[in-house]
Amino acid sequence: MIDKKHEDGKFIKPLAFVGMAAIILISFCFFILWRIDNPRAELIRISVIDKIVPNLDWAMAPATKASQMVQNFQSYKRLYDQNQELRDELQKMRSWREAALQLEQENARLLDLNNVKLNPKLNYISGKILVDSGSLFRQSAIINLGISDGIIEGWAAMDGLGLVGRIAGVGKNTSRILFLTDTSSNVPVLIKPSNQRAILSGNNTIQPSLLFIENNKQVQPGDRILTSGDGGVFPANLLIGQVSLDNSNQLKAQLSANFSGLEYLRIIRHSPNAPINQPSRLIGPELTKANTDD
Amino acid sequence: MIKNYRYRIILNQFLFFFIFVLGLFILLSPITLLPTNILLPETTLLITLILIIRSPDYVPFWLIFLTFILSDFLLTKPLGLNTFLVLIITEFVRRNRPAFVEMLFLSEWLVISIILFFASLLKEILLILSLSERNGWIETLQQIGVDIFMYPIVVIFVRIVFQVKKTEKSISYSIRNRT
Repeated sequence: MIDKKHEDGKFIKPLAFVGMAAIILISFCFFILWRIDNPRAELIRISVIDKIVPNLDWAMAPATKASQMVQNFQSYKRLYDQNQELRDELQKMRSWREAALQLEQENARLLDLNNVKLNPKLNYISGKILVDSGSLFRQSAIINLGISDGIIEGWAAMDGLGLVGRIAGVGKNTSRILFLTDTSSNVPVLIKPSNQRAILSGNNTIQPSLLFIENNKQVQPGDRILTSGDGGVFPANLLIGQVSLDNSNQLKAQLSANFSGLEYLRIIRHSPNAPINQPSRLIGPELTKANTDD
Repeated sequence: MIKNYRYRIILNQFLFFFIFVLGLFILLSPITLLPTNILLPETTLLITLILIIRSPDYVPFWLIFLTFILSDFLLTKPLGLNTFLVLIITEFVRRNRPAFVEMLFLSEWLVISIILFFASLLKEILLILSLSERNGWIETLQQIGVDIFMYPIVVIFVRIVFQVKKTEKSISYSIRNRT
């Protein structure tokens, strides 16, 4: 009976062969397009994600909630220890708060004395993480903010305390955040208090590497790492973390952002200042035609 | 009889896609965003290969395309490359199915391991030639190792879930002339 059916449909085999060959060719063309015109291919990817991922939210919710419950349960098990730790930290924080308030007042007074013009305050928009990259070798996530929320590629993402990454791909309603831990992430940084410049390079671990430091000897574990603002992608002075030494005496960054508990992110709205290309415009009066003739 | 078989095929195709979507959920759910060192096997690929040997009608080429192109899009992989390679190796296995059916399990495991190794090698070569970003040889070898190690476990899973055996007859176009 099966054979008779097959005799009736004797065109199926060549058609299936042609279809399969076409599909293999289409797959390879996708790869070629991804390589040759990467921005356009990534736009196609983000638009596909834009269509699918927001609709998965309801399905993701049980898995995410279940994992949070497990984490909470583990946390409850050491509730007493955590309470003690929090009391100690609170005591320390109170003294730090006092010191910070005094420094803030002093800073404001000095800025006023010197008539310093400050950068406009950065404002932000918050978004929720929908899905992560799903790959061991890619450190990124998708958030529920996109072009419709005014998101622009390159804007910094923070967890409230430290820098997490930047926007790399914007769809209509979703965007991809490329984490500082991804191997393709390289951020120019400033190490305080030595004011050494370096590049923070992701390495697929929670401690990104500090490369191209001007003078290694001036950098100590515990020094603060901030964005330098070089390159114009990130605003300057966003906290990244602290310098630490790994087992092989390599300088790494201990990130301030809590990657294990990331749920919401702050996207910093940032428009770089207009570059000063002509120093003559800045110093002295503008030259008129009459002056130049003399 | 044939009607029942058609229903079974469609049902199992849905089951295959459901398992893929479930796997995708697990991979994509933002449980923790910390970088981890835990390598997961490429379960969808293993299930596809196992089903092609045991019951190729459950995984037609269009379903393989749909599944893997979707995973390329959603899992930030090089677009189309994985799909291209999976379609080639699955077609190779499909065309040589009679030989796989006659093999002992250990031989099947060995041949699949060799196929997985060469597929990964080809992928790396294509990435190098196209000057794309790669994961590195050690990571690639680790992934192949995990896939090979997990193969027998996935075979047991497939036997239980899909109720398939190697001796099962097929109406798949590739082997129709041979049966």
